[in-house]
Amino acid sequence: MTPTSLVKSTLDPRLSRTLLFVMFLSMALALHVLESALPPPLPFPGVKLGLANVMTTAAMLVLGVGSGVALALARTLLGSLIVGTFLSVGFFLSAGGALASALVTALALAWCRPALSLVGVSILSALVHNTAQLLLAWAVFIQQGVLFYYLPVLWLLALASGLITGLILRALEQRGTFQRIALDAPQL
Amino acid sequence: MLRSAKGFGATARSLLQQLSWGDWVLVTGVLALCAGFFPWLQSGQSGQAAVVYLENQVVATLPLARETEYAVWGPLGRTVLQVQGGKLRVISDPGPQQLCVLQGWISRQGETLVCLPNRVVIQIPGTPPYDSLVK
Repeated sequence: MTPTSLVKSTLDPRLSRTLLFVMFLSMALALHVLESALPPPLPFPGVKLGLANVMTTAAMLVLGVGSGVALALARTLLGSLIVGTFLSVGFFLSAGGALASALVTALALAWCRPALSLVGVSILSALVHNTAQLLLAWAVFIQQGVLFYYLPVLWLLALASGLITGLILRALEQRGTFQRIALDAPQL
Repeated sequence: MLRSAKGFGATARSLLQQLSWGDWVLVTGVLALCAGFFPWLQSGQSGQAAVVYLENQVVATLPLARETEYAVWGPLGRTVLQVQGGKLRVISDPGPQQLCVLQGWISRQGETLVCLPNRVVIQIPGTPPYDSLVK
């Protein structure tokens, strides 16, 4: 029995929505924890692939924009509790970046397609994520303009990570995964 | 798509075909912006002189305006510095990895060359334009 047919078998639409949301959240948390356990792929502070953000966009495609934003916030909060970075500097940067990028992802999904594919949306999302983090770091923690020397590095890294997460989303889209989940739970 | 046993080039091409025209515009735009940043990144103030340390003691101050070669004797042997055209580099060092030689020229304030095995550090004093971020 697939997870989605499990959801389908429960007839209450609100319950099935909640179950799907929790499934997305647990997958996002698993990716979040896995990624924080891996060594950073490049020797720059704060470099991550952002695999957990795949789930934010996936939730937006299946459950709607609001659920995606909620997922991003819940994931950073619960993820920081699991990893042990709750209320640390990194936590605020991560939460701010996740919120900003979730909002922009929502706008891009609504307005920029089909000019941008899911790859472009992911790249945009990663760019906003990294830029928002830097702005937040500048506004709250280190008010020195020199911080912005890091911006092009962050943008290039966002380009790479957005490309990778975007290609993952695109592969899922082409296999009809999002449609299949929505069809399995038609009451959505 | 990813399961078929294609070569790396074919796989990369089929992956890049996933990008729409808007994606390419976005990628190109970001690359152009990053390229535009480079002149600004290079804009650190050039230094006046380099200070040479051996085992944390200042052994020489070399004005960058005067072309010289200078040798320091460390625990492993001779580290040779060259000053030319307002820049400084290490031209030979007994260290096994040759990191300070490979690093090439330094000329701006805050730049440093470290030949760690031979305990030689060369620094151009001043404020660096940026420091590493603390995670």
